[in-house]
Amino acid sequence: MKRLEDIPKKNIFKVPDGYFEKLPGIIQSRVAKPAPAQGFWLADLKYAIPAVAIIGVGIFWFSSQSYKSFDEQLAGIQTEQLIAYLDDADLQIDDLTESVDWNEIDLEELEDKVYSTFEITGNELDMLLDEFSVDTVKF
Amino acid sequence: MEDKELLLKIRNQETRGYGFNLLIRAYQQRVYWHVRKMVIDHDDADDLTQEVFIKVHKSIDNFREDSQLFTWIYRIATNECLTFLNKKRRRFFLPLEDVEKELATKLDNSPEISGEDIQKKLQKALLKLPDKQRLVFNMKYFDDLPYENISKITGTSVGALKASFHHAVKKIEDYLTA
Repeated sequence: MKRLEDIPKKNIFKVPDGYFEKLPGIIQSRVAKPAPAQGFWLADLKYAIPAVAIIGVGIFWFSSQSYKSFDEQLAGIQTEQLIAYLDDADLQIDDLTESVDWNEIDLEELEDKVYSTFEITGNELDMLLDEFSVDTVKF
Repeated sequence: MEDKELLLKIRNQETRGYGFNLLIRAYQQRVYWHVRKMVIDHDDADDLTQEVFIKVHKSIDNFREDSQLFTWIYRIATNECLTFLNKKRRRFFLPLEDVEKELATKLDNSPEISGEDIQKKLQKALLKLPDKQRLVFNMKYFDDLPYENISKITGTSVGALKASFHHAVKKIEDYLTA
């Protein structure tokens, strides 16, 4: 049987000439170098991607809130709140009507709504016309 | 220069570069040969030796002097070797035997390996051992490190190391006889 102690201990590996003289300089130059750009990007991406996603969601949410129409915004306000505001604001009907730019269609719709609330029979109407005859009206 | 003096120089910003240069010069050969015996190839050993000292440089301020400086550096080198060999197997999905064959081929063909046939045969026998057992064998047989130091480097008990070395010698002698 071949015994280990019979084999002379010998280093069979070799290195290129001058290797150990150059190695400290090589290592020190690597230590002195700043981190490579690729490492910087990879390290930053793990923070940048979630940040961009959060900003994106924020912009989308903010935009969807901002582009609500006037009717949608008004629908979101309780009637009681509107009444309370109008009471506090001390506004007169004239103020409100003057502040609105009425067009012809609006006026016709308003007129229809007003007259549709009156329940006047034909006789009553004739009596009213007699009473308020055009001839009796004085200017 | 003693380790304490070396560490003082490294921890002083004005002499840090000079101190680190002295540290490399003091330990480069021990680290290189420790690594080379594990990875066989010079280029791989060169890369790993550089990585070891870069890690030493990064972590030297955290070295608490609970152990000797060389034990600490050896531990880093040992971990680098094991990580390298594991990566090599994972990267190519190579089984143990194929990495062993690759390293054995380098033993036969590399111009940077010389020696008599019996020494090459001993190296091939070592390649049959598991990586950790090969590390223990190298540190005991070639580097003549006491078991207490190997225990600190590997984190294994002295008793387990003695048993590991004994089994390694038996396997090697069986291979050499065959």
